[in-house]
Amino acid sequence: MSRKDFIRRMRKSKLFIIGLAGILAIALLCFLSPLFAQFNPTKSELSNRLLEPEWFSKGLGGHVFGCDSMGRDVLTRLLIGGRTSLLIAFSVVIITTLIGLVIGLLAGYYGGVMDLMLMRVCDIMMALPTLLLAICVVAVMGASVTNLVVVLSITGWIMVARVVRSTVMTIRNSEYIKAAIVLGIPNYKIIFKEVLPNVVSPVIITATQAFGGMILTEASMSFLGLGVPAPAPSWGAMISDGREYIATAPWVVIVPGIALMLVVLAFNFLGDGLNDIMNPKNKD
Amino acid sequence: MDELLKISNLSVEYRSGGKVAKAVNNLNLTIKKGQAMGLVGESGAGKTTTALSVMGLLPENIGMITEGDITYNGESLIQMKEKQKNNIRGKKISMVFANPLSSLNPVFTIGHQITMVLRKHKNLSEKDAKKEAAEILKLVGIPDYRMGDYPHQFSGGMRQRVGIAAALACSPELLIADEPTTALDVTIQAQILELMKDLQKNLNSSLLMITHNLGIIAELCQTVAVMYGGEVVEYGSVQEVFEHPSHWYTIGLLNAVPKLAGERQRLISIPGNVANAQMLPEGCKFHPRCSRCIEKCKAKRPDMICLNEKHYVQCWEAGGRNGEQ
Amino acid sequence: MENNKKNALLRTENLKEYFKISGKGYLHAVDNISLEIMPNETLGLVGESGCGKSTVGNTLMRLLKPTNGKIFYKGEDITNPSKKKKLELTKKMQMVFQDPYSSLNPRKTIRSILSEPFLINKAASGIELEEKVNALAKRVGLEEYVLGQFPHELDGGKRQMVGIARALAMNPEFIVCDEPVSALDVSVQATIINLLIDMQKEMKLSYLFISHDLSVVRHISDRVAVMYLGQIVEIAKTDTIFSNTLHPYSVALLSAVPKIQFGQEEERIVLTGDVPSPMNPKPGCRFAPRCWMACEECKNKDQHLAEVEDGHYVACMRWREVREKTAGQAWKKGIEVEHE
Repeated sequence: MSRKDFIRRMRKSKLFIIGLAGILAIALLCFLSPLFAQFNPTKSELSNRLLEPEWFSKGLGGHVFGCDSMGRDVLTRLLIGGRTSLLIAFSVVIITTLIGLVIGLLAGYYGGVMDLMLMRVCDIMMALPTLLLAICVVAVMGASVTNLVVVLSITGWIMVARVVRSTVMTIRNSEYIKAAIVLGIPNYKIIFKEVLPNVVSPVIITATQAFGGMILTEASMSFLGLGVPAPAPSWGAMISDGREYIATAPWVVIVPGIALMLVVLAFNFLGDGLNDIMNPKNKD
Repeated sequence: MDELLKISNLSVEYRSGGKVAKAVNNLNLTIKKGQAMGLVGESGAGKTTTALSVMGLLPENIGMITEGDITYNGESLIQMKEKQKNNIRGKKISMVFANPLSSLNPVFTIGHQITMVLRKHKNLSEKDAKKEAAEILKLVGIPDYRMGDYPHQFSGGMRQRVGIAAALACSPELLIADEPTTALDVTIQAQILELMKDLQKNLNSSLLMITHNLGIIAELCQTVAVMYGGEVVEYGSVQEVFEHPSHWYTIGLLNAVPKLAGERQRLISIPGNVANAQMLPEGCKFHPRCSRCIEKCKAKRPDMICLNEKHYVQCWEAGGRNGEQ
Repeated sequence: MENNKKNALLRTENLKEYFKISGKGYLHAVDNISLEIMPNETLGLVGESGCGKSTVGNTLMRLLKPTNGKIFYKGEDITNPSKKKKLELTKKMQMVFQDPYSSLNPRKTIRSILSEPFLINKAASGIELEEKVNALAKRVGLEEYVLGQFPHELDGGKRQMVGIARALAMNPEFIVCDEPVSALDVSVQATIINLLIDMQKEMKLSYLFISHDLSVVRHISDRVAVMYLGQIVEIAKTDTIFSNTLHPYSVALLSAVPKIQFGQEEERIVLTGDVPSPMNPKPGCRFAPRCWMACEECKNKDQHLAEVEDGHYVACMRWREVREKTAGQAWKKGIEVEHE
């Protein structure tokens, strides 16, 4: 597909545009929040404990989404926490994609014993419960953003590796790979120049779809106290903290909950949109 | 002979995403009772679309008949209600597909599938239907102990036999075969062709054979219609058309195929590529590839000219050029 | 025969290619094939799907490692070539593939596809490369604007021209054509066949032409080998094999082709049953279970290629009876003219 085609199809895909717009908006808000945040996300002010949202009374000037049980501004925490969540998910997706790409390419291209061994490693990793692994890592190394990224990466690459492997296996059997071998092109060049360009789109699609999942997993980790250490804000931790007050101060839970849902939804839209755009079988 | 199927002035378009492909353009075709007609042409000529239109199996919301009529025994198939059509489809007209595996249901045994067809269309009891299914399978050369086997347990040739058996189940008056042997090896193809020859002789049904292989037409059919760009460009008895081809496309096609006998001359290829249904030229659809193209060909589509009662051709030049090659 | 061996461009000696299928045994895709291809000659290889004809091509091109046997190129053993030798051979031996839709990388422009052979052999760069690619495209009859396009923008015939151009880039001596026209429309097929014949004359090429289509093979080949279940059953000059067919399988194959002929009804030899699987074949003639001439002896005794007439090899002990039985068949008439 030429670049012109790609842009034309991008413009036509509603899912893609909605998803992209949503993600850009959320990311901009989160990353630019230090510029306009009026409150300190970690400083507690007990007089504001479980303060109701002031959206209606004071507009954007006050605690827009109210305060949590420690009297911290929910909106500020949400934005700063979102920044952490997005960063973690982004790093994990990059790391897992790279690992998965290499392993998938090797297994799919060389096949045979290499494939057998790598895929068994995959199976073993699949059998490891992520949460249990996380608990172990946190117990040994302590809770930190880095450790969280490590834990999520250890299990996350398998999906990518499998997608890449199956794509590579079909490409491996196509005649243009045979033609390249017959021309005497060495294997590493075939992998980089003939195979890789053809697995880029499925990889991008998988990565985008995995992004949403990563944010959810990160949130569940933080919910369980295995993620971003307190008092740094994180959506999972916010939901976890707020669940005691769900009856009296529902906003503490609902606001990060909705934010979480919107981000994941936006990424899924983007992924599905990309899938529509990049799949050459979807002719328009 | 009576006219069994008459396609008159049929035009079919495929529309999707703002693009229009004119697959069939003002096509006329008549199949008489007991007659075997060959429909020959290259990819994109509109052969399969014609067959699907007759069967009422055009993809919904994409393929549509924009003009013309198809009558079966004098009744219009297009105006017919879905229920009535279902009655004709499978019982009176049935179809054999190019890929027998995808036209059989993988989760039922072949015996069950044919029994089902018989029960539906002939209202037979389970027991009678089974007995008849066994007989039909025997007719196509499949022993009855294989009735309990699933489609994937059969080889390509055997599967196509099952496909033919399923199509023959209700002794249809018209059998449409869409490239039934393309996926098969020559020796297996020979088996299927012999089978179809025998069946046609014994059952006296009509046959519409769709293929790109001129040899198959010559062996199996009495009349042939050559299609190009969604039109029938030449039509007549097989011997007449193949021995005195009069449309430049037919001549080109015959010259382009290497022969099994005779001198090995350099092949004469037809320049260019097969017509694209999305951008068909004005006038004669073949004119961009035709070596004898004149101004008139570009402007206006030629009429079907009768060369003799067994031979019709749609070419401006044909009147004065009967039989010359 | 001895002379042939010495002068042959490419020669195989008892070539075997078995595939291990776990739990089932060995699939004998190619079993004991010895053949020679002379300089500037086209050897046609015909047979039905699964007879191993493509495997022969792939083994010759070292896409597969032979299980046993030897391959010689100009008298030199190239069965297990060194790395350096391998690259050298890629210049001399090339391949044209069946499916022009999958033999070109969809992400590359035609120019970039045709540049590959020059780049890998460090034969040209910069403006020189551009000129060489232009000349290459011109040679096979591709217009220059095509070079800027992607494979999906071309029709089947043009794509196959690109595939042929890629194979011709380094001026090879030998090309394996693996069903190069079977995916094309009839009218386009003729263009490609003509191109292959022209290129052969121009560049003094040798072809191994693999196809299931007998008329195409007859048209292009100087000699024809018929394969059945991994073995060659008959090999002879094209005109000989089509007019004096001696193996019962070749006869059946020829007889099975639907022909345009009127007035002379011909008794067709229809083989019963399907091609058996080449898995763990039993001893005895492999064609015997389907053969219309088979006797008890055939079923138990291995048949080997034997020269029955000058340059005509048949692997059937009853070839004399076959000749008698098929005398006067319609397709045998009119095949006396020599290939120009």
